[in-house]
Amino acid sequence: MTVHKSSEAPLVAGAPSPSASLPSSESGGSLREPLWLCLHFPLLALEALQQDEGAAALLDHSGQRLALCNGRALAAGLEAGLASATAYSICPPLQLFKPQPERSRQQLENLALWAGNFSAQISPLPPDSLLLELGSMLHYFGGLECFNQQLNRQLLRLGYRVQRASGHTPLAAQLLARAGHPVLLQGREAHMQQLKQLSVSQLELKPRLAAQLQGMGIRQLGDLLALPREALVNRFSPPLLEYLDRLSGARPDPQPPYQFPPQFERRQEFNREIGSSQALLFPLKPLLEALQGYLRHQGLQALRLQLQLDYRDGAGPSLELGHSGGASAASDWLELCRLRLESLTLQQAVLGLRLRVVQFRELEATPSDLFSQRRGDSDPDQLFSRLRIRLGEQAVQPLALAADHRPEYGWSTDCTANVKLSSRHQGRPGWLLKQPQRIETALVKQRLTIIKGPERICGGWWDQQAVRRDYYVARWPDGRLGWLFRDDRDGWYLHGWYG
Amino acid sequence: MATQADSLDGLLQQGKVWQATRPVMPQAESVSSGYPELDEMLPGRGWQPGELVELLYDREGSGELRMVLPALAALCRREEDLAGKKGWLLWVDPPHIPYAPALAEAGIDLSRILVVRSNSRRDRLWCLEQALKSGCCSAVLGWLPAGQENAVRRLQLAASESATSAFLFRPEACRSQSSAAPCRILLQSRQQGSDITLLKRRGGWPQPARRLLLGEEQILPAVTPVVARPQPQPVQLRRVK
Amino acid sequence: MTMFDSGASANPDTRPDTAGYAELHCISNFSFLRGASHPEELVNRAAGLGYRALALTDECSLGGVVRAWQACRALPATSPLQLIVGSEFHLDGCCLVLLAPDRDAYGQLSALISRCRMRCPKGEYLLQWDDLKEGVGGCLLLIRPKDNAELPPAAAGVSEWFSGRCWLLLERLLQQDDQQQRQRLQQLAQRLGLGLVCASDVHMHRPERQRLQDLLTAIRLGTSVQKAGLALAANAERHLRSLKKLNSLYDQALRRETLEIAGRCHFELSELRYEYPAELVPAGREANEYLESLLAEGIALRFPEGVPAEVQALIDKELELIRELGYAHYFLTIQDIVRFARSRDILCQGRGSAANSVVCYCLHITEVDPREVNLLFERFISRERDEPPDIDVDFEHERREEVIQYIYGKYGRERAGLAATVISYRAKSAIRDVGKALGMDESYLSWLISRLDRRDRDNPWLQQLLAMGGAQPAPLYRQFVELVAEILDFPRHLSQHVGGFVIAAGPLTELVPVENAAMAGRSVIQWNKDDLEALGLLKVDVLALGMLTAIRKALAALQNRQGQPLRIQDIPRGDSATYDMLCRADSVGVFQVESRAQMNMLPRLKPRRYYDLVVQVAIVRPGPIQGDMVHPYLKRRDGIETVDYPSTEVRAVLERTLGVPIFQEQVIQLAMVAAGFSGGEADQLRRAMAAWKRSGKLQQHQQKLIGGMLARGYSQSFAERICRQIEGFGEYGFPESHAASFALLVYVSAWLKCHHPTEFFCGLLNSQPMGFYSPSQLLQDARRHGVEVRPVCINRSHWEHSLEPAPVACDRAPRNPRSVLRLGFRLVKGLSRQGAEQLITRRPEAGYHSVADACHHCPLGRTDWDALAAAGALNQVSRHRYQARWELAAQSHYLELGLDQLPAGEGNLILDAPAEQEGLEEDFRHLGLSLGRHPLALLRERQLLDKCLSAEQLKQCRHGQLVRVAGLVTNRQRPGTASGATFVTLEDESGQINLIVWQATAKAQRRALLASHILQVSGVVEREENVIHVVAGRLRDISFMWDQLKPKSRDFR
Repeated sequence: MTVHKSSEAPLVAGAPSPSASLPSSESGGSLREPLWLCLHFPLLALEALQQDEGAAALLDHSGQRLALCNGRALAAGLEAGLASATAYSICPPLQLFKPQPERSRQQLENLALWAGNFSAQISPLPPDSLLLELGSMLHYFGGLECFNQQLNRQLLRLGYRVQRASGHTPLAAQLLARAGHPVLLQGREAHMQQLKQLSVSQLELKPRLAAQLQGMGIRQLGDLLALPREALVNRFSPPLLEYLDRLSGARPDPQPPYQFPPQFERRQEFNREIGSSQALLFPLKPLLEALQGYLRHQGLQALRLQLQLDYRDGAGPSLELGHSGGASAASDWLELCRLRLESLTLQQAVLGLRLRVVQFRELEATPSDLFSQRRGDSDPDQLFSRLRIRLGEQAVQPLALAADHRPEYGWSTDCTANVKLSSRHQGRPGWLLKQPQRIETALVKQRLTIIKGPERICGGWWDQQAVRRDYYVARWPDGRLGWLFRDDRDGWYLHGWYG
Repeated sequence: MATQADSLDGLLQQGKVWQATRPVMPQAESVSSGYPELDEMLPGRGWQPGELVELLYDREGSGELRMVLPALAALCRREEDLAGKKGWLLWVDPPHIPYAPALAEAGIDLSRILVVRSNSRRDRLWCLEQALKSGCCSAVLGWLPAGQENAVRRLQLAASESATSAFLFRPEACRSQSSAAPCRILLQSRQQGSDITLLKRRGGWPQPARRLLLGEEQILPAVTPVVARPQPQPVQLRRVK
Repeated sequence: MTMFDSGASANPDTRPDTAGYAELHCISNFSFLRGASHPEELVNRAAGLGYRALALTDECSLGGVVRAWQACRALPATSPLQLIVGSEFHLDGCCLVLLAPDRDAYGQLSALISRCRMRCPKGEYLLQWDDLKEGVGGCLLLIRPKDNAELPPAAAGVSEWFSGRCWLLLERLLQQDDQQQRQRLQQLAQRLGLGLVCASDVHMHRPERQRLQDLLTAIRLGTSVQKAGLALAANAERHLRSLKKLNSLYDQALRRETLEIAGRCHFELSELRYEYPAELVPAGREANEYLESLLAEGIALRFPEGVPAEVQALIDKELELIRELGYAHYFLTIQDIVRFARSRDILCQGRGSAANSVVCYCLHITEVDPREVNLLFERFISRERDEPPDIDVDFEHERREEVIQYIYGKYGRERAGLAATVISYRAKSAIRDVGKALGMDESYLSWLISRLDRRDRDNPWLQQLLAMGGAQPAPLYRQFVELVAEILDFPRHLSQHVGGFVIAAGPLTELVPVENAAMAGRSVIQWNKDDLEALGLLKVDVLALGMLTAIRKALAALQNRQGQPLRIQDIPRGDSATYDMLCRADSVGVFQVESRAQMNMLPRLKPRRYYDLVVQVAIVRPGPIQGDMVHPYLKRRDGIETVDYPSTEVRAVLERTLGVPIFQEQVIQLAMVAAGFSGGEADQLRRAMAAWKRSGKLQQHQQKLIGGMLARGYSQSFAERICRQIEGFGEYGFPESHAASFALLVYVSAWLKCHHPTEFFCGLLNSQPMGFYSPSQLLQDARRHGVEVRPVCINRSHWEHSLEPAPVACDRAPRNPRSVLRLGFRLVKGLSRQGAEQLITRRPEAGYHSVADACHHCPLGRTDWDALAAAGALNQVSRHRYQARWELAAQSHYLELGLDQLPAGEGNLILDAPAEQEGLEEDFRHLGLSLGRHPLALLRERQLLDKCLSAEQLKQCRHGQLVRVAGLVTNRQRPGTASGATFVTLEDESGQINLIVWQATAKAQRRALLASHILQVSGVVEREENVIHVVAGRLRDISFMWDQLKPKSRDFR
């Protein structure tokens, strides 16, 4: 196999894009041995959620027991299967997370994009592995050795716990990687040697089948392969033999490749609120890494990025970043983001961010405005955002009902709660004062006419805003109708007007 | 369109147009105020989208909201919304919190309400004008102090362009100032109900004040036996202008 | 202007008004998760406020009325309160309250509740308007219509159905639309021609309970108070309001009407009289006379040689009491049930105060021979105490259902029902529910619970809980702790009592409401056993006892071998070999005395006679231990301490227990004899003891006790000691009357173990699950006693464990041939009984000769075959498990293809046999026990247990010696007696090793203590008499060693 001379150039600095020129004309290409690489991220479901380094564990679906532990948690003596209460008592600072499959799925997709750095054909193996076709790529990297070095460097940057292995078939790479065996080999024989040592439980067979094999004393794949095929045919259903054939390569095993999207737009939600703009760089990094892989795979550079922050109460600022010449390296964009974020003061805590490429450039093409804006004036949302841009987020608010007996909590700006109108909402005034307004008792007694009440409202003991009030409707001397209450210290307050 | 409204307005100012029987804006159907007595007073038997209504009252609690809420509810019920999207009910700088339970009880779809708090007088006008011009509001409600009569003209123009219902709430002090609003109403609270005076209306002379309960009986059912309906008219007639 | 004057404008009469008030609509916490006060709290508060009457109207329930009634009776004469029994229903948005003015109406109401409940699954009810049409005409009806003050069309006839007995309910709760509501109601009342009456929809006795009420609402709706929103009450008005306030809310006419209605109600719960089922007495005979005739038959059987004079005197005395108090039917009922059981060969044994009587002995209700027990105590039935006789009957646990079905069959479901057990909030459930309802995270709550030490008496768990909130707990956390404290003991739902039956002469539903139990075909009444007792209603306890099953099976096996019937009464009493065995604490499997604590006591107490066993059973209980009665008793018994009595009366009470009160009855008698308590007072004391934690009433009794004793000349120290002992008894006091019955079974099971271990263990294993030990532990003990055990085998086993004749070359006398124990298929996990039966019926004389042969004969399912192979049951026909599975795989494959047998040509492949460790593991996994070597023996053989002593070697160690031991962890226990210590039992190939792990050690090595399967321990031997413990020092989890033994695939790790 020929060694490509340009392999010393680091990927980031612009090695040729894998998909830009598939080496169909490469000499010896058709004789290439098949080779696959599997990257297995055993803690992905946890790492997709955690944002610091402490001991952490993922709960199982019942929420009662641990399903995954990170390194620190293991070091503290925890293990999967422990009851959460026991785990707490062993390791009090433990952070527990409920599984969020959607977040893991998104992270795996980010990783698939990122893997565009290394291969033209990538297949995600949900929930936590990636399969990369390697046979046709090696010559770009100058052989397995150099490929490995580059892979190591990037994996390190990524910061995920990873197990990887090569295989002469997709299944072989997958099993070896999941088994945690760091194999990086070439050739069928070499791989089969390794595979034979896998225990039956590592073959990812249906539990029932694995148990059946173990129940016959068959412990390793080697044991299984040593049995006469005839005897196996007589005892096991066809899928097992098919499986073994796919593993050994006797039967083809096509893998559906990941379809890279035409647009690059990724969201990242945080598990906790981020209050400083610099701290946003941490979650931004994996997105930029994914961007780099995406751009390399597609043979593109990005000219302008848009970074949208999500505030606690809704959309936050949206930043545009430009690189006049176009760039693809994560490190370049990270630097630009850092500069831009330095000058940004956060008005609220940030709950998530979205990264989008506004403008691309093909590697050899000139920059051009691909996406012209189209505006429709009669779009209500347009008005909404225009008002918000000019006046600020807080200045434009929706209005909604809230379910609370305390009048000041009887409304809100949160439309998602979807509270229905109840009989408890009836007879209320159209205006509510921002703050109840103290009224002189004398005024109430001498000038106002109470015409309805009392309606007693007590509640809110649970959030330290307890109220104990008697509400009345009263007519003012000039005929207006007001809503007032007397609190438990006998003070009178105006709380609304029947406008 | 704009010139037509302008010239009409001009003509009206001069009192030259007299066409009470014909709807002036045939493209927009009027919206009932929800009070038959009030509809009777209004040209077109209801509020006319595109016509700025100027409501003069002195202090909150006079019936100013009750006067418009049924119409807002009616707008919400209307089918012909903008291209399948619902139009906003935009409240610009209301003096207090519009209380969601009361609005909902009045039949208003709260999801269509936006409350805007502007930072300055300039922003407030900008906001009102944008909203009226955009055509994506079912109704715009604004609170504007005295003065700024030019602004009223601009707003009336914007409202008529998009045929949007517009209510401008202003202090009674504005009464003496001339206004570009085609409809001006004075609202005064009384011991029972409120007095409503149509200071100015398109296609009609000012009318004497009438006393309306404006839904008071809903708030105070206990007083219903006292305030019988139909109500005798002990109200003295007041001729304006 | 006062707070309420505007609302009271409808009340022109402003004169002070002393007419009084009766609250007619009030729910307690027996309307589960709605009412926020106990019935007692409501009664006391209502009386305190000067209410004339209170109607307890729980929602479709009478669950709280007995408690309310008791509370009413306990009120001081100065502030009496009339209790009205009623119930609330919700239907079509209306709230209906039905009140029972007299006994007939009560029966109608109770039947209506039962009808509504029986229509629905447990916990729900359904009322229909038609239900009111007839059958409840005696009740008074109050209706609060839906908001719109309209009755639904279906209710149109109500005023007719309840002519003159129906009112509309006006309830002013200071809501937004109070005035409208009132107007509408007045109009409606006018239109329908009904009266109007006021009430307060009471949910709690004081407004401060609103917090708890909100919380209950959130729990009921499965949400948190923060999210419950408008589902919560808007204010706290649904409490018992002061008369002054009520005066301002309602005009006089409305209030006067409440008294009118209350005045029409005369029903009192004490009118409920139990009537006995009549059919037990043959027509034309009289109950007492019939009982006597049955007794005469019994006497002839029990005393064939003639009745001793003192026994006859006792019989006469008992009969006289029975006749006087009218309990003949009760004894006849029990006798009938027991007779049924005997006719079906179901072993049973009565216990309880009345059970240990000569009458019961002669009626075969108990086997405790009155001549054998020195029945010094007279607690048969007490004339003074006016409490119903108490007889519990234990039946074989596997066959109790037959007895229950007999009762249902005989009396019908409408006449027989199980008593309820009210499940109330306890620490864990309170923390969990309150926390969730306050929006706290569930895993956080589990963590809190896991950190609580509920045994710590110096630091009650509520205090610990508060401390966990930090020095300055957040306000919400403080509320959390307060609410947890408040909700404790609140009833949460009804469950069925283990076996307390109420059997009535007429329909039971007219006595007490009946509802569906969770178990199909069972119904539960709404009262628990305390309620029944308070009303003097009789219940019959039909309980299940595993040991009776085991004894019956062992006796049957013995009879089979010896060819002659053997009954409990045939077993020779006073057998010294049996007592020797018990003194050695060789009591694994023996009834009641097999726990570790009991085993520790046996060598010290050294039982030599029946009464020693009675003491033994009762003394190892938290009560006597906490009351510090054990050591004095032992010292006196061993003659180290002298026995003295402050008076002859006390001597009479305490002599049989050497001056130390050990039984509950003695405490009661002491109170009467030494402190001058009346029978009734002593009985109250007994109840207070059972519930002293909840009511805190014990203190009053204590003062009275001490005062009484001092007045009678007893010393202060004696009085205080008695009090301390009573407090220690608390909930855990054990009555002598029960201990006496249990002691008999102790003796019988010990005798069987001593003389016929094979049959005994066979019976025991066939009665699992029961007792303290796992089958594996029982089997090891059996083998140590020389029982020969054989594995489960496809060609030999039956469903149950069975006995096979021993090999002929046996040295025992042929008259008494030895047996060996063959394990049965019931041990095989995953094997269906049906499959096993098939295997047995189709089994050829000579057995199956191969897997293929067996498959050919028996079309069992795949799971059954797998289970058999896994259990090693096929080893006889196919070498070992691996081979069996290999052969089965081919069989099932070919059976699926419809072929008769394997095609030739595959050849006979012989697989390697499993290693010993693998065999053991599969044994444990699929059988729960193994006949192979003990795992610890394997570890020792590999020299993995460096210098560890075996259980056997430990017996030779001296006190204070440093040792190292290792074993499988079979039990971890934190007994209530020794605070802070954990008891761990280890097991090795030679026996059990008892560890004591003190708190500090446990804390430092928590992980090893809690999570290990095999534990190695360094510690110090503690030896007292023949009891050996190891006080643990260093713990080491060596579970990993077991894995090291196994042949490993080279897993990449």
